[in-house]
Amino acid sequence: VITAQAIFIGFFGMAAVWFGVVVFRTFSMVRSAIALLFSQTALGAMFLTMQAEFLGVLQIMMMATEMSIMAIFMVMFMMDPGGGCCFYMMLFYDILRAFTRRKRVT
Amino acid sequence: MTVMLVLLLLIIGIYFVAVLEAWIASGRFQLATPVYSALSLLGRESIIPRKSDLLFFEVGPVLLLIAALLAAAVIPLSPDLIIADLATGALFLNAALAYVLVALIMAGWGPNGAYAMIGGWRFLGQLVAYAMLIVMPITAVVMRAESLVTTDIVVSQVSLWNILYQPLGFVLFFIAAMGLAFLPPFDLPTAKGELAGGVEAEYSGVRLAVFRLGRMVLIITLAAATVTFYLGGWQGPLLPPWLWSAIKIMLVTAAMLLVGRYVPRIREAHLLAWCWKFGIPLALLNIFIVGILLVVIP
Repeated sequence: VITAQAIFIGFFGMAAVWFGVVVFRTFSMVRSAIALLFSQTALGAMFLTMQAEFLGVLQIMMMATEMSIMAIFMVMFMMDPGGGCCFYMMLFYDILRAFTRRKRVT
Repeated sequence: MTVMLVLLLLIIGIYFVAVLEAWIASGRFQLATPVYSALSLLGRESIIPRKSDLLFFEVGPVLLLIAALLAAAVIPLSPDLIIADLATGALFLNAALAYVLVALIMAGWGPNGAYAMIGGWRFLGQLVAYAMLIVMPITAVVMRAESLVTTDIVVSQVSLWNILYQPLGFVLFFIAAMGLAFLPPFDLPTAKGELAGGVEAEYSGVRLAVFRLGRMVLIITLAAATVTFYLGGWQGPLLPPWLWSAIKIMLVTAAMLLVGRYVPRIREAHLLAWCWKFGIPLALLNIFIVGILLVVIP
């Protein structure tokens, strides 16, 4: 039997996993931290749907400030917090271009 | 129905705040000011800065509005006039208001501008200062009410309003609420003189209108929270309950806006030092005093 509760738990669970994936897929430190925040918020929403109200609200409250403070530390310690010219990304593009360069047809 | 009524009251309140803010800023009392400024904002081009983090840039103002509205959902305007009477109301208010910080960081980081970014991170520093002073006075209020439900908190003040029962907590909460709403003495993220608008600097047109709207809802919500926690909520003689809460909320809003007119902007370092050296010990003292009062006078 699929109840509304199960659907919501599934939805928020998938949202949490998706934001967790985004944390590693983005090059921007701030985006990464905020994605982690929304992943945790989705977990809080799961607590709420499972009727653990206090735990859910607490999770949603704590994570907002914690992840924001983590974001500023990530910005401080990373050489390229915006991810605009990330070294590894440049390297990746160079390798990609080396393999996919079109030969000029004469 | 309840949602509609609360939203209607909220819109009237926002209009009032806009008039009051313009009055304090320009010295002229004009009832039509908000209409003019809204029309001019909506008519203008909303510029998107180059190389911006567009997602954050778009989401920031909207998240500010949503956070303020969610916080407003647990405020009782009368015994029945409350959108969500949660069992963890007082905590939920904090949870929703924590996202004001996230919204401001997003809005500060998004537009790829120096002033905006400094403004956004400044608000993070401001949070470190005010956050404890929001939570600790609420703890003392909740201790007296023996409940996190906001309606119960109002009912607990029937014999004596909390402003008289714990005046120290009221003062701390009032100051911290002004810090949260970044009202003039604490308007570090949007400092007009030094940061050229700060977080607001890169916004224009519709997005700026949404940002300003969210900020006004935030001010109203914090005034309503002050009324709920310290000024006896809807209680009062003769007039209907909702009118009493409306009057009190308006008075608190006016007081919050007026204080900023006469106090110079505080420095970030001073704010942090004073909040941690004086504010938090006083908040702990407040909890201690309330605890003793609750034991001695049941």
